[in-house]
Amino acid sequence: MSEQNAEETGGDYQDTPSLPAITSQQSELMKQASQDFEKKNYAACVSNMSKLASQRSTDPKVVHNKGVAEFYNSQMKNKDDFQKSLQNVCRMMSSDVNDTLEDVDQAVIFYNQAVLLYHLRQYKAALNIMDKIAPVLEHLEENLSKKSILLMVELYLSTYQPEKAMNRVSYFEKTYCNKSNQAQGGSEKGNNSDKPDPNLDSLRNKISVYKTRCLLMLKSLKNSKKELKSLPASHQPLSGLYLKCYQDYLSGYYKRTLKTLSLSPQTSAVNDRGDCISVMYNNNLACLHFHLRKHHLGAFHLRKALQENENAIKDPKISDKDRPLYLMGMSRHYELLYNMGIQLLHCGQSQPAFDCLLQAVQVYQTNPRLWLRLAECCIQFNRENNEDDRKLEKRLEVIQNSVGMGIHRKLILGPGLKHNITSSGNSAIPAPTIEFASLCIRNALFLLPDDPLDKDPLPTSDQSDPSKVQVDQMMVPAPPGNPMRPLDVAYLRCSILCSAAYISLCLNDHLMALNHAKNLLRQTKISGAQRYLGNLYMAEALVVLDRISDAVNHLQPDLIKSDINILPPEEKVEKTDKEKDKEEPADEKGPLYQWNPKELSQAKGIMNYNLAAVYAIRGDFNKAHSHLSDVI
Amino acid sequence: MALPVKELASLLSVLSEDATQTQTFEALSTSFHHYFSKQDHFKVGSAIVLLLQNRDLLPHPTQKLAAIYLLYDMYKTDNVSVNPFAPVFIHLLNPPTEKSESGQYDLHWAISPISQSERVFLSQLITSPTKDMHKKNPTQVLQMEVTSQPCDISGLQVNLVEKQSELPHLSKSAIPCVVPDPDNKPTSFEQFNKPGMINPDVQRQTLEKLLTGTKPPVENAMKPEFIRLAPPLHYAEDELVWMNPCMGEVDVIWDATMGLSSSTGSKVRRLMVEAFRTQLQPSQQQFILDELEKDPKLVYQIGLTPAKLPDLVERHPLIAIEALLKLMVSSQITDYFSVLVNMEMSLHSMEVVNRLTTQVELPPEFIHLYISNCISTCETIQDKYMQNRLVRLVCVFLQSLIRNRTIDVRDIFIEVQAFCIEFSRIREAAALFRLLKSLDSNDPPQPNSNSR
Repeated sequence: MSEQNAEETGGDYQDTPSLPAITSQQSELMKQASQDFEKKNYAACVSNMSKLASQRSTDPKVVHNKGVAEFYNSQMKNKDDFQKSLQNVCRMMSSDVNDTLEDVDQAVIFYNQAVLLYHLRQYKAALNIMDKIAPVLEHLEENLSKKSILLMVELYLSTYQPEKAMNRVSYFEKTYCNKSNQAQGGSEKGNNSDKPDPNLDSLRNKISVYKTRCLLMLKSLKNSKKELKSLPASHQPLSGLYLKCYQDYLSGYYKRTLKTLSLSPQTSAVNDRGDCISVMYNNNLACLHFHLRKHHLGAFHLRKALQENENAIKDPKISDKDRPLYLMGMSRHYELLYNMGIQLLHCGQSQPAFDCLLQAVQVYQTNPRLWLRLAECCIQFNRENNEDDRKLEKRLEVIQNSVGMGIHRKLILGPGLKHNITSSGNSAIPAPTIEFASLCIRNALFLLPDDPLDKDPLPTSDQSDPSKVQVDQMMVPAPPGNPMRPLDVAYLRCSILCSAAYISLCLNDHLMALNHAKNLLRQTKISGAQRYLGNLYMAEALVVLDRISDAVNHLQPDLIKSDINILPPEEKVEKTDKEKDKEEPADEKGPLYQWNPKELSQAKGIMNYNLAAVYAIRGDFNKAHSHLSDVI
Repeated sequence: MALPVKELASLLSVLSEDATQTQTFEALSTSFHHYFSKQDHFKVGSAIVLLLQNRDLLPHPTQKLAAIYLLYDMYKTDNVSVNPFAPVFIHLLNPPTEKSESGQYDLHWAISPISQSERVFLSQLITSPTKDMHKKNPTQVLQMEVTSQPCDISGLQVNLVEKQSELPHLSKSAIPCVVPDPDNKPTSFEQFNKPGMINPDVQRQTLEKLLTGTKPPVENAMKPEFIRLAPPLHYAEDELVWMNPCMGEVDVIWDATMGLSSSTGSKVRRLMVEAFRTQLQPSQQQFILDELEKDPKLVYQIGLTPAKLPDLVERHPLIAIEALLKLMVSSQITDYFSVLVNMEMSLHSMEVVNRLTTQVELPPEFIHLYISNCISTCETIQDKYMQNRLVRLVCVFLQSLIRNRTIDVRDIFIEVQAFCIEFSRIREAAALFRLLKSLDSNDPPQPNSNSR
């Protein structure tokens, strides 16, 4: 294909006369225009470029720069015009951003096209273009080369690929930051005092910031802390402060971060990079409150953030059409909705949470955890709390009413615990029903990488291979949040299977419930609560499938050995490790939401009750009675 | 399964005290079938069972017997074992000792026992009915003198047990949810001081509430139920989106190379397009070489992609060498190498590789791969003349590599030795073999010992 393409290009070059030589007058104009551009004197630049363009209408570089100058002169508002001008230049060079890069001269056009896409938040498309520049990076003019690398880093970070971003950052550092280092070979500090080079320093700080962002996304917290320390406070103070807060937040110092953050300056204005600080401030406060288990306060701040975001977008001064390029992607609406949904779910407000997450999932369709959250909304909507069964009104339902009088009086016993979950219409229409939950859970399962337990044990000869596979599976994307580490994925898998088993039981799909429960119980990263539930679900499914004695085996109260903790198992170990390492202990990590049964005795009671039910079903009333009296 | 009020009235009229005392079973059956068709039977049967379970709703023994008869009569065309109400018969025919065994459980739904004469009648009815049985009326049966034992129904019993064992436990574990709870308070003035007296109005109302309307209690049953706990919310450590002010500056940029080198670049480019296709004039060739020499970065602008390298090598090995030398610093050079290794072997490609080896250090894997490729090409070629030519070329090429010590002979010794032996008829191969041998015996080699 490239050959064919080359021939076309070749043909064009043959037909069009080569560019006329540059006259000294034209050369002067070019110089003048470049200087004007550097001084941000865009109007003068445009007039010079127009003159040039009229003389050298076949010179793609001139036409390109004319477009750039005009775009800047419009305060970056004429995005469409600029886009057209870029396409025009492409045609002149008979290249296409969708094709391969043939000539390094095209790189600048590709770059600018990617910048446009970046601001329109079409990160994948932008990356596709940048990938074509990547092989020729070293042959580009230095400024373009640097910018290209940094754009790639930005794009990788925006698409949650921290490893790739890190590679590029290291490459940049190697190529551009060590030049003077090599000569002097001193440490960074010594170097700075020897030869103060403001340009190099600011470049280093910039790289340092990028590195920190990558490391934070990789959850390599120790390294990111080091990197942050080396960053001088004077460099971009606000974003530095937010990064520092982020570091502390990820390390679990929620209260401390809350203090630091609330001291930060606040404005509701939108800064020149398209960031609305008050949106971020409120959003981040909500994150902190979430982890401090103050969910209602968190929801309050998120509501505020959403409002600020709305205000910023609806700014009457900027209509949509002449919004400058850098403000195009400023809305954080869907990220905020995502946070809001999760927050509301933890508040127990399943219906509003469902509505938020439903909107978010249309943007972030590939996030398995988000699909699980949606399913959880449906579950919560249909069974708000496991304690509900113990409420007085529920207990009174045992006797529904009485009929007749005198000798003819009859008591009518209640319908039991089972709620007739009535589905309204099609399950594909999103509503917080169990049927919709089952769709969500199916999506979540599909989006997970293959279960490592399902892989055939690798032959010993391929010792090098497993490590390779692991590298491939390093991170699973969970947009808009940070990607998940393999351990996070293992925990997520347990939660998904647990919910899947529950949902299948509710839908009377007992065979599926049995499969999910079985799969859940063989997982290694299962929490105490999940093991307990897995056995309960398994038993219930087995009873319906008339495998009573198998069911009894899963209902031995001794099965719940020590805990019904809802935290994943490794969590506690990690915490103690952390505490040893650090002088100041992080805020306590713990369940963010109260789940019932809280206590082991309660859990055992429920298991005993279910065991009694199984015996009763089998007609073994004496045993049923004895287990029932254990419950009471 | 709910009965309409009208049908309930019809059923009660069939089972009224007067009718059941005087009419024969046959007559009762006729009036029943007058009101109900086949598809109503199960529904009505369920209602009859509910009536039987509650003594107060079907107080008179003749009513009860008539009700039992109807349960039989509805399904009399089929074998009794497929009658859905057959368990009722079994329950009634088993003497009440059964109940005392179950001991502490007072089963509120159990149908009260029937007399010995009724039992004889029922057993005969379901096993071997005679015509004159239907001609009797319930009162006669009740007053009948018991002369014989009830017929043996063990066959039916076995049949039913077998059928039930096929059902899952869960579907056999329910109880009716209507529980009698008699109250001693009088329901009307007339009944004052007469507890247990039946009040037809209240009886009728109760029946309507139990059997009619939407979702009447007769449909419901109570089962042992599981407590099904909902799972806890997933716990994730880092799920929410934290927002940081944007730190990157992503701006549209100015092309700083405007006015630079574009003219020579495009001229060379045009010539290169020609160079891939045809032979250039020596002067043109020289122009390209000069320009490449002048501007080390020009090579990236001449459109030389790895895919086009073979064409250039075949037509202009000199330009190819020059371009490759300039590309040595590029990260893409391995792509060019792999194309070079895999292209068809020829004098030109060998010349290019040879020249490269003398001027820069090539990765040893590349050279080894190239040599293996050459050897296998020699071995597989069909044309004898071409083969001889190629073998000679390869031998000379290898000798030069070995003499210049570009490669370590030991790495490829066996492969090359086998090659030499295979083509030992060719003089150059024999010479190469001798060179190898001398290297093998005394290391380092004497450079001139094997020259012609």
